[in-house]
Amino acid sequence: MHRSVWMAVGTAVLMMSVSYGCASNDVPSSSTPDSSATPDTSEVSEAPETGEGTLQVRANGEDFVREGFVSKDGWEIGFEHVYVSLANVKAYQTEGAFDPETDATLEPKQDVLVVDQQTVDLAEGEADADPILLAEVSAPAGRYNALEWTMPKATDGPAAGHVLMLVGTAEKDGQVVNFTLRLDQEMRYVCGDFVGDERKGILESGGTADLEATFHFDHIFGDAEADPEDSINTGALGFEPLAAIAQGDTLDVDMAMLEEQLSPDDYARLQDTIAGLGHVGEGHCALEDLT
Amino acid sequence: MQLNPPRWLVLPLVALSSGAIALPALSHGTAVEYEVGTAVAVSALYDTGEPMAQAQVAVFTPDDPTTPWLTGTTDLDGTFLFMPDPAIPGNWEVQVRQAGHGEILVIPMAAPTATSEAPAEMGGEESAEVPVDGAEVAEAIAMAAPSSSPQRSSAALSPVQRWTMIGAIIWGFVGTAFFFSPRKPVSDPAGEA
Repeated sequence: MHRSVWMAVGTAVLMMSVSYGCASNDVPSSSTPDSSATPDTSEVSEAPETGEGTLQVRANGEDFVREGFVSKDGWEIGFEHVYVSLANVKAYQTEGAFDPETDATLEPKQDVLVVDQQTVDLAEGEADADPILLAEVSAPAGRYNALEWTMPKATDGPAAGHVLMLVGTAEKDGQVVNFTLRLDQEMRYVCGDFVGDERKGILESGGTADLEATFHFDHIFGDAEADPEDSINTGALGFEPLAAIAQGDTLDVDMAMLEEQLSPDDYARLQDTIAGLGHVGEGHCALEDLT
Repeated sequence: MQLNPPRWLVLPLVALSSGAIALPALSHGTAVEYEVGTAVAVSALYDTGEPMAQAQVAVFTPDDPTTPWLTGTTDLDGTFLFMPDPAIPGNWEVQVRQAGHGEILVIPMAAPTATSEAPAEMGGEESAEVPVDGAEVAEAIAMAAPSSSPQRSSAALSPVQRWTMIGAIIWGFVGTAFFFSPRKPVSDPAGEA
């Protein structure tokens, strides 16, 4: 074929490539639907949503679990183990924003099952260790802005038969209580976007992103560092009611025993605070009591 | 540009439902400046009615949800005011955090239209309640957001239109190339014989 024909065909192919590249900008490629209309952002919005990346989900008991803390009523609490049973851990990309504290319905356009069933010890590792990695899976790129998990009774392991098992020591004014709390309140949490020092769940093709199931144990025991009138303390049970039912220096109880031995108000408060454990960073979750 | 005015300035602005907003500079000196444009006022409250005073605020643009476009703190009333870049339409996100509680508020901002650049053409007030905790609520009020739908790119073509155009381009190049290509002499088998 003549050289000029080759040149013409080559130019045409080049034009096709340019045309295709421009056309791909028309497709919104992130969960911010109007980003494609943003001037000069074609490269930013074009990269995600094609291909897959690695999506991790972590469980975090925060410094309260790893380093210990002082309860609202002055008990210095340290944990040896904090077993949490987790199941059906799913990450979602939703249509628009999802606010779990409204009546809004979760409308996923993408969901990824990350963990089927697993019991994790939130106290595992050094004080400065990263949050526990539950699992990582290959997942379509995009913006994972919602996370769901349930907390059923563990089927095996040290916490078998329980949802939560807290093992540790509380000390105040020379009195020591070695406690084992076996809690059986089965819950389901549906949470929105992670709220914290960094954004999470933004997965680009070939990249890695993580989400976090965060557990706020200061909700149960309160926090001496917070104002006594802060809701974190006014709503917390504290440790004093638990110390009061200890047998000598030992407190080894399950929910049935707690219901029997605590006052009705304290037991109701304990139930409320257990239900409020689940967060995504500082972001809150809708919850369903499955018990 | 972000403006985080003191208490007295917030409420009149929140009450505005349309029109450009001129904000006096908060200055002790002689330099006086102002900005005219679309403003968003975020009011963060606990559901007890207590404001989230001095709460940390981070604003993210639709095209970069990881790097804060703006950071600051709410005022004593829990209010934070900023002016989003009108050249970046889409879902702006505002994260408000305080003492272990937080929420991310999504604020849709439409692309400016030719007419919406005039203050009188700007859209009305939007408001949304955002729970921050089981016992907390933040409220956001987006003011003067253009009410028109986002502008569509003029380059948006259907696949049929796009490939028709591509085919026409190819045909044009090929045809042009053949037209200008030098023609070989037509062989004449009879003459060669």
